[in-house]
Order: sequence, then C-alpha cells, then structure tokens
Amino acid sequence: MLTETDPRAAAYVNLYAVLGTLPELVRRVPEARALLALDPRPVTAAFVVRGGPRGVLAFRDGQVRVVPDRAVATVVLPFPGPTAFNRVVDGTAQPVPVTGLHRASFLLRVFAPLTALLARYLRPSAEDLADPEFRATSTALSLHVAAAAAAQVGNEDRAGRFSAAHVVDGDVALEVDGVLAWTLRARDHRLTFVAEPSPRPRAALTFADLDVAGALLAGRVSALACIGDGRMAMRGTISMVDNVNRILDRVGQYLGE
Amino acid sequence: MTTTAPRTPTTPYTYARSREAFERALRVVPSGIYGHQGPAEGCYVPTSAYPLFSQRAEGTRFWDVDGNEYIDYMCGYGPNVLGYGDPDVRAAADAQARLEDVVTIPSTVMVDFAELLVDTVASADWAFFAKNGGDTTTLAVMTARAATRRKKIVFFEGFYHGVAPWTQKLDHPGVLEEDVAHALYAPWDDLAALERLLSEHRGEVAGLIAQPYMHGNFVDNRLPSPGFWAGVRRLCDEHGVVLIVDDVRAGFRLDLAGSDHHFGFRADLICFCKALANGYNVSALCGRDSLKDVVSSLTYTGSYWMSAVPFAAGIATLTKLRALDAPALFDRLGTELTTGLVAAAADHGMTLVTSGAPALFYLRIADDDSLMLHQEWVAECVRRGVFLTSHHNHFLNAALTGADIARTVEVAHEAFGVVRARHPELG
Repeated sequence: MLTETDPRAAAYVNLYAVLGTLPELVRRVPEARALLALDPRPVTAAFVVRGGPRGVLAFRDGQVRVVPDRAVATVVLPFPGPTAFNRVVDGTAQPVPVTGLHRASFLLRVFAPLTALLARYLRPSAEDLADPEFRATSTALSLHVAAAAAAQVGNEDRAGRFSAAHVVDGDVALEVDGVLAWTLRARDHRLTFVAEPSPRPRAALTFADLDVAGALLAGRVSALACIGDGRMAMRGTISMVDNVNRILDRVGQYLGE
Repeated sequence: MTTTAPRTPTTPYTYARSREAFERALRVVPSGIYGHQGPAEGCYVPTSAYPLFSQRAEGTRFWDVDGNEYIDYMCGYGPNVLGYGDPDVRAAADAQARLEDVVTIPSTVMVDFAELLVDTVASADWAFFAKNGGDTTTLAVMTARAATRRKKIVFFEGFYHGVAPWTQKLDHPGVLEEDVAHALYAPWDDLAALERLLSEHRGEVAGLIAQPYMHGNFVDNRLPSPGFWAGVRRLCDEHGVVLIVDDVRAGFRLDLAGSDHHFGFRADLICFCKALANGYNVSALCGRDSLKDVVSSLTYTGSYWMSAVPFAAGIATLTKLRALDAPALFDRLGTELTTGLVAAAADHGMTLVTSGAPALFYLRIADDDSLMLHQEWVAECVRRGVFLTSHHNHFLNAALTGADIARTVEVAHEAFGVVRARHPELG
C-alpha cells in the first residue's frame, strides 16, 4: 500500500479516465449534447503533458472520441508537467492553447461548460442526488471514470503495476446487472479499458445494482461483505478479480474517494 | 476407466439457516465471515451454492447448520489429518485437560512433544511452539535475520506464508512499502534465476522461504523438477542464506520426517502447523542445532503458546500418523480419488486436470481457461454433499474410506452431468 499518489499517474487518470468519460457523458446526458450543438464544427483538442500523457479529444457529429498517444489537433494545449495538467483538470488553473486560436471559442463556449457538467455528475450535490435519474447517471459516470482509471493506474502507478503484474492475459468483465457491461482487458500485464461487454470474459465482477457499485467506489461498503450477501458476485479467474480490486482500491486514492 | 453413474439423482442442498446466521454475523463480524473460511476469500462461486456455518463434524464429514452432510476434502484447510474428533487424539487431550492446560509455568508435556518432533522430523534438532503457522514463519524470518545480520528475504512467486505484513505485498491494504521493502521475488523451479538474484544481492540475503512445492491458488500445482531443491540448498550454502521450508500446509501429509526429507534435502528451519495436532491449536518451528541459540535470543512469546492440551494432542496425532504410515495412506487414497474424478469427467466428455501431490490434490477443469466451468462443477458437488473448493489445493484425512471415495466419484459424476447439460456449446 502506497500512501501517496504519483502526479504522473494522476495525469494519465485525469486525461484518459476523467476527460475520457466525456464521450459517456455525451451519450447519456442530453444537456451535454446540447452543449456540443452550440458549435457543431469538427474540432480536435490535444493535451500534451511534458513527462506525462498526450492524447486528443475529437469532437464531431455530436459525439466525442478519445484518441490516445496523439498530439496533433486543431487546438493544442501544452502543459509543462503533470502537476500543471492536473491543476487544470481539478479546476484550479486554466489551459492556454498554443495553436488553433481561431477555435479558442470552442474551449470557452463548449469544452469548459462540458467539463463543468461532467464535474457536476462526478461530484454531485445532495440536491442533485435526490433526483433518481441524476443519481443513476452520476453513478454510471463515476463507475466509468473508475473503470477507465483502473487501466491507467494498472499501467502507470507503481502499486498498480505491481497488481497488474499478477493479472494473466484476458478480459475482466465489469458488470452492473441489467444496466451496463464493460471490459478491462489485460495483455502482457498492460490494461485497457473498453466501454463494451467482453465477448469472452476470463473473469467477472458483477454488482447487483448501480447503488451498490456507487457505494463500493465511495468506500461506504466492503467488497468482501457485498460478495458474502450477494450484492456483488465474482466468477472465473478470481485472481484477476482480486488484483483488479487492489487496483480499484488504489484508484480511490487518485480520485479522492 | 468408466465410472458408474448415480442411480438416483441427488437433491441439491439449500441453506436457509446458514443464510440466517450469516445475516446475524454481518451485523457484528466484519464481512460476516472474514478470511479464507468466508464466502469471498473462500471463492464460493456462486455464494448461494455453499453452506456458511458448520454445526458438527466427525471423521471425514461435517454437517452444516441446515443439517446437510458433506464429505470434506478441505479438512478445515488442513488441520483435520486423522478425522474430526479422532478418538485417540481426543482421549489424550481430555486426559491432559483433566490435569491442566494454560498454567503459569509449562507442563513437561511440552518437552515430550519437542522430543517426539526431534525424533520424527529429519531436520529438527529442537522445536519452538506457538499457535498459528504465521507465528512460525515470522519467527523463522526473524531467526534468519538475527543469524545473518542481513535484511532481505527471497520468496518464490505464488507464495503464501501467512498474513503478517512481511508476507504480504506492496499493493495490499494496510501493508506499508517499508514492510515489504526487503522482499525479493524469484520464479519457482528456476535455479538460474535464483542464482542471478542471489548474485545481484550478494551479502544482503538473510533467508529464502519456500513451500516444498508450488501449491498456489487458481493454478495447477507444480512439483519441483529433479535436482531443484538440491540446487537451492547449494546456492543457499554458497551465499550464506538460511533455507526456511514452510511446511505448514504440506507437513506430515507427504512425509512424517518433513517435506524437505521427502524431496531429498535438509532445511535449516522448518515450519509446521495444520496437521500437527489434528485440530488442536499448536504450531512449531524446528531447526538445526546451529540456530537454536539464535532463536533463544529473540523476544517472541504468546499467552497461549505453552498450553498443554494441544501438546498432548500433538503427541497422539504424530504417534497415530506414524502407526498408520499416513503419507503412504494419503498417497494411495488421493490417487484412487483423483483417478476416479478424472474418469468421471471423461465420461461426460470433459477434461479434469489433477496436480500436486495426491495427498493435497488440486483440481481444474481444462475445457475453458476461465475456471467458470470448474466453479460450476465444484458448486454442484458441494450442493450434493462433497465439499471441494475451486481455487485451492485439497487435503485428505486418514478417516477417509474407499466407500467415501466411491460416493465422492458418484456425486462428481452427477455434477459433471449437470454442468454438461447446461453447456451444449461444449459439443
């Protein structure tokens, strides 16, 4: 158990898990689609972090797509290091584009409100959570962030890599009964998050409902107790689930849960 | 070999009282049942197929709180080596209990037990008693460090040596990086890799701790290649490393003289627990004479470590294991059982792989790589009165009979049929 987080790994989490959940936000929330409609012209934004990740968010036809390991885009946002990038994602600093200034308005009119909307779902107020539909979407998006972050932590964090080193090749299905099914794919101890059901999982971690998943991610319930009473289930190569659970524990440190 | 299909299908068990008790437990016990005997770490997949609380046990069987009867191939995860409630062990323990148990100063029965261990275990010149296996592995590592004034400990990947922080890993909750800072990891059964590791850390390694063969969970268990242990012994000698055998799991099931003796080498320190006293609570670290004074110098003790009743039970257990030639018995019973199980699988067009020593057999259905089919089959066996696990090696006890094995194979056959019928995609 490491007691501190690594800014570089945090930058990967912020780019690919937090901002990487924008496509899911757009799929699930009409308000997000309305924001994209304000400026429907295709645009790409590259986040280039010195000593950290680089990737592109591509906005086109009312959808968002994440292109990893790419730095060429309409708007390029460079960061001198992971900490500077993390401050921007935390909302304590503003990004400064070096190219694509003609599309800077997209950042102000669309991208900033979109990330603010995402933040509202990821750190919901008690008032928002009183709405069952909002709560369900909020939990689903939080799960998406956590699952995507698991791949980043498994690849980039020291403790995460230790856990991933014990994960055999194959798919771990992450499921909420009747609601969603995603995949954490392991290949040579590198993890990839796929927001689709696995065609052939080698292991599975299943939550009875979104509330259980949300409570577990928030640290309000014990995974072991939930497995005992049936709110969670596991099957298949349980060593994969064990190590994914360890990574998810570490994800909690990065996401501040 | 073709097995006999069951004449009458077994009615699968239900567990209403177990569930009620678990609900109560969840309110007052962390996770209801923590650790390896609970539904999470015990890999009860699905949890609904397994009993959660036992009511009584006798011989090779236990009965759960719903009255369901099981032939038990986990043996309390090892301690049941002669049969639950073995009359000879119980008589010895009861006789000692009538005299004394936990007293201000120890009983000489401790000395009797130590003498018996020294006479029985090839690498034992002395015995130090505690309660759990982890007490002895921790003592062994402390001894190695005190003897060598070095810090690092070599583990073989897939190891399990208890739950003390030094036995855990960097990514385990509650374990600090500093707790595992001096752990070095080597692949099992790879002498060249071990030699490289010891050379890279020349003069730094205090001890090497290992189970006598690799009985890791979720994977086929692996016996050592010929010459492996002799090579490990040689490398430890060359590098001044204390060789510790963790015989907590396999001890007295492979060889009463110790599993190091079984594999043809001599450990410097050897840890025993599970099968030592047929369920009475005692563990022992044994070792070479040259390390006796080192152990004496350590601050290491516990409130119940000199209780006399488990010593008396241990003496009776070892005496009876010797009379039965238990390792040979376990080898025969395990071979008969696993042969029958493999044949039952084949009758249904499935492939069951057995690995490890027959006395501690590990099972895996090889028709998929996810263990899901295997978990289904194990669950169907449990629901029909044969308690197996899907993730861990099993244990035999001397009360197991040929009739028990025949019944086990019959249930296994039925369970294979149930799984097979559920999966037409298997062809």
